[in-house]
Amino acid sequence: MRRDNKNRNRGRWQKIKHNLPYITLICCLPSLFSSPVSAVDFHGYLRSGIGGTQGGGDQACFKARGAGAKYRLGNECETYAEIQLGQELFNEGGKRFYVDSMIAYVSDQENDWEELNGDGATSSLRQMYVIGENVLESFPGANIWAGKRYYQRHDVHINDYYYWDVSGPGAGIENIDVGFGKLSLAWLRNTDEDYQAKGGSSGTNVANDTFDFRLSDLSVNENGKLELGLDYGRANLNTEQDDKDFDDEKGYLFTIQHTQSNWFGGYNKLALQYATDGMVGTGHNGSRAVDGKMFRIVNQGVVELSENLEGMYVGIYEKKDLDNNQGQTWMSAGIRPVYKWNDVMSTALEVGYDRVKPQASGAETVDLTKVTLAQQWSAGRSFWARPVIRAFATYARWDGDDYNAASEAIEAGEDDGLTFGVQVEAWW
Amino acid sequence: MYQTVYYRFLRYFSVVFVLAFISTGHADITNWTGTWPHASTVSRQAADKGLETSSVCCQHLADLPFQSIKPGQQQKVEINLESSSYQFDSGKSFFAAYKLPEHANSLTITLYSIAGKTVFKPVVMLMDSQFRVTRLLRGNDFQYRPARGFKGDSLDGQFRVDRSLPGNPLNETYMVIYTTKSDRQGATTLLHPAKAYALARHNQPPAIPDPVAKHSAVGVLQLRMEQERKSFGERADYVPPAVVYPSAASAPASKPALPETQHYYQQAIEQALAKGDMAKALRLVEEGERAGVQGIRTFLLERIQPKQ
Repeated sequence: MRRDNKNRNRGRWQKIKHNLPYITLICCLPSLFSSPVSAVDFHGYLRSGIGGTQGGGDQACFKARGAGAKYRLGNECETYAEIQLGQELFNEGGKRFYVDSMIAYVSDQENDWEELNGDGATSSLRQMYVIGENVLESFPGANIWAGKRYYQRHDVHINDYYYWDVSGPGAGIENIDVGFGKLSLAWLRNTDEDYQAKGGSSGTNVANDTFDFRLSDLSVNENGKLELGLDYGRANLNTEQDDKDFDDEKGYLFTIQHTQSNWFGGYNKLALQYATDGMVGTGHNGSRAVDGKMFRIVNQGVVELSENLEGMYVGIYEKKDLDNNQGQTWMSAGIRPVYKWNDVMSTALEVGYDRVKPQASGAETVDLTKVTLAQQWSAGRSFWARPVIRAFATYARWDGDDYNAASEAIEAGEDDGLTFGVQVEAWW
Repeated sequence: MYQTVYYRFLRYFSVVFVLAFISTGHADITNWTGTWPHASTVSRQAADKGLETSSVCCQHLADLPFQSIKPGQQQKVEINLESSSYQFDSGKSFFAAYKLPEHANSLTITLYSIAGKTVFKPVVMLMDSQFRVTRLLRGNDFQYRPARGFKGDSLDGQFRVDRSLPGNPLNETYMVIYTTKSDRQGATTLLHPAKAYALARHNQPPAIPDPVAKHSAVGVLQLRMEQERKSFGERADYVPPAVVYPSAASAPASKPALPETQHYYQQAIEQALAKGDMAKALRLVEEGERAGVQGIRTFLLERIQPKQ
């Protein structure tokens, strides 16, 4: 066993040695760019911690079956990290080029030694792109970009739900000033791996395209901004896939989003989305998707009710009507008020409710109620102040006859559970 | 039997755990994050009013109440309505005045002006041992840096004070932190914390305006002064001449010049500057100082546009 490890390590070292010239080249690449080079910008995100469940065992993370997300305060069972390194490569006469990169890592948070790609742990190169700001003479202020990128993602923080996320390899032009707003155009890619066509033939790697159009920064009312989005997705079939009668399952996703600032000391963001066929989801085309329609409302906000009381709320309604009757209606509501005792200590309460009703008649509707109480210590008093260390306890309730809402720490058939722990969350 | 006791213990464990964390964790964490001070809560109007009614402490820069500070110190500088005020050439201002260590290695001084609803837009005046102004740091010398980690929103500036010749009378010895009348009219746009989160996660920032910190006559600053460990091979921003030039070395005249003389030198400097004749302006300053014209060096420094 030990010898195996040794051999494996030696093999790895050989691999590294063979690649050394390339590694050196990549490391030194920034120095090849001539203009005065600024320092490396280090950004990132992490969450990690430890916990246990009443009755014994690792902490349990409760989620309603079929729900698109779960309320997250403390109750996250993994270590997740994003390491971002970026650097300005060129900056002259108002024109600027910037390279950005991101490596993400997730593990089950079970051991000291957790490999970057091993049992219960994976890592991923999520971003690697270059953005050129203000470089097109005909579009002053606009940016061109290419590479793998998180593209204008929209999320709900308290349940970690990304309702509009077309990220992936791509290219585009951002922030073209059209007078009354900003226009952004992008072409992005996601790929379906194993494919089963209607006639029974199979294949791999169906390249899906998403064409993304956004018109943002439209002033519609006092302190209010509107954004309109259209995503068209389709499979980009090659000749063989075409011959085998693969489905390109094209679809549309329409988004209309309104952000109201100066709203009880914070802001409110309302998004309405409608999608068809391959685009039923959050922005990626699925060439194996079932025909159907989706309608979604996401309303969220952060408000500061007094000097010491700040909080976030969200309401989600998502209805998927699919032709194979496998759709569902997901409803979710949650609030997270935070009371600040002083500049570093606060108490957060999170109450969340999720309900999933399957489209098929006769299928059981499931729901889950979750309450988390956390004592938090953070750098500063804003709702967004990080890093934060929190000691938390989460209680959840569901119908155990229908499903198990958590990991093996909860016995099958149980209707409720209590889990507790300490979590750290940071972004910079 | 043993099992039941075990479960019962665990059932209450979570509560005990949280309580234990609160009691032990609170004091410690307050200590290590408490080093970052909070922004002033005084409104701009109240600060302006306070400044207007405050009585000026002294007539000459040399009479300012200078506090001694030691290197390696990190300290909170509170410029509030109880602070002393002085009639600077750029307008009346509350100030904090320090005497820098003379027999030390060269110093790196970092100032963070804490931003909240208001912020103190600092000007740092450095003077040699004879109270002659050597540098005025202002404008873009202090830049807004968004909150990050344990550092809050602040206007940050860093500068170096040379001590390669200890005991040189031209060494920068005195530091005054104040603000100007025109700076007090301005404001600094901060980064909204929700946007900072979005930027860190590479999400689309919400379409909301950023908060604005109005520049105020009062504020809270964090001052950090470190002694350099190395003395060679580092960039020196201001190295006083090793040779004491007669013109510069002469002590300021014991009697202040007549207002007419002061007026003459000010006029002459302005004319020289209008023509872009810096050499002449400098000579006028030196002559003026010999003649006992108060604050003539500051007069010139303030008329030189800070680099943008």
